[in-house]
Amino acid sequence: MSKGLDVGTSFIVLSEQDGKKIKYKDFRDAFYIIKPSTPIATKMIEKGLNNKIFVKDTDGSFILLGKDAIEKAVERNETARRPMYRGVVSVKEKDAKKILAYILKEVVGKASEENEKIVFCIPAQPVDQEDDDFDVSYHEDIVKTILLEIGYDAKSINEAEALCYAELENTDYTGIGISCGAGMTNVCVMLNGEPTVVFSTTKSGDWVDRMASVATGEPDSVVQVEKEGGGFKIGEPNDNPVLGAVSTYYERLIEYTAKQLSFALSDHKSLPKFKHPITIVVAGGTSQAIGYVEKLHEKLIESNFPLQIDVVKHSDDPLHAVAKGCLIAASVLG
Amino acid sequence: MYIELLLFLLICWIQITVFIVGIYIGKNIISNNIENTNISTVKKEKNIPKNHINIDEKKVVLDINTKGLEKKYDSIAEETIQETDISTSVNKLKNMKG
Repeated sequence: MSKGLDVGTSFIVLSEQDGKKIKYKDFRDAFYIIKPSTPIATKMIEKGLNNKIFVKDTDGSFILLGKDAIEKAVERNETARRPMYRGVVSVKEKDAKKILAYILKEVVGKASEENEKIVFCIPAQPVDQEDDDFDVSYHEDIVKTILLEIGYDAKSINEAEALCYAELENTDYTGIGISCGAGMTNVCVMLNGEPTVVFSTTKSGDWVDRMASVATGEPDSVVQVEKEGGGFKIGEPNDNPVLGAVSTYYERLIEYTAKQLSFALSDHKSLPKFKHPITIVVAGGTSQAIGYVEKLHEKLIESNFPLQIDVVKHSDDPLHAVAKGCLIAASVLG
Repeated sequence: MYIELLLFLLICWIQITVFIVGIYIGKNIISNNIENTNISTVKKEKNIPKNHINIDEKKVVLDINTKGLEKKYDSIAEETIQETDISTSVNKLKNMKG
């Protein structure tokens, strides 16, 4: 048995094969800490958290996890915290490592056999940010250490490479995969199953939330909930001010991504000479907004994309595609 | 006669001036540059280490302790099952990668 694991900024998704089926486990990557001030408050809060997903820490505080953390944060007009930031373990959050370790152990579970194979995804080095906060190898080491502790033989692959394995079978694993996560946009150019160019940009769904939050004065969590509720089309005006801002910033994000892609691939030494126009496959939570794929295609043409495009297609299962690709990679290794 | 003498003296004066300027340039400007070149060469030689050894500054992962967190739920994640057979993808990739 092998497993695939998508360790994302907004979602952690585990995939495992069950005969001719794939079982997915989805976890919303968020937490919210409530520190009671008195023993009476502790009892009242614990009663109020009945049926919610939470853990109790040694200092008496309650750590809500997943969707319940976001709901509670919105209820209190605050923002839920995340153990990950822009695709890697957050250095800004003091509790990030401990909480990520706990979540991963709970979602993945102990290995069913000794050294069971698991492939997890990591982001590529960004082309638009250079600072010490972004340390992919440290993030990779943390995830590997956690998985090793629960009995796995863990290997990592690039997030967009995993997407190509899940979606490019019909084109002999030749084309481009773009994984639009919450924290980052990862890109992989693949030729016959070999990743030739991989890179990322640090602006994606969270950037839209943050900018829309600044424009409307609403907390990020509220913007995120409204955005995920749908009811807007990218680039079109909306009566709801939050969704109007989200729609505008989405268009700017797509334009930025298309320009970065075109710039990064123009004259790239490792870029293969494709014989035929290529397939571009898009996945990830951020790509689920109505009009995302069409707008990306339009902006790529406008920004003089250096390769001929056959089609820009959306994954059939944008939230699970990367985890599926990781599972395929794990099965190839096993 | 007078004009010829004057021209002779003028040429002599020009020659002496050019000679003095030549000595000045040779002593102060060219020799300084030569000295400077020597210094920078030496400095460069000093900067090149004989055996370049790097120290591994990669951040280490220390113990990540999750003990003491008391679980208060039944299931942490949402489960979905999909009818998808990945065996053809796996075989195709195995063949392609040799």
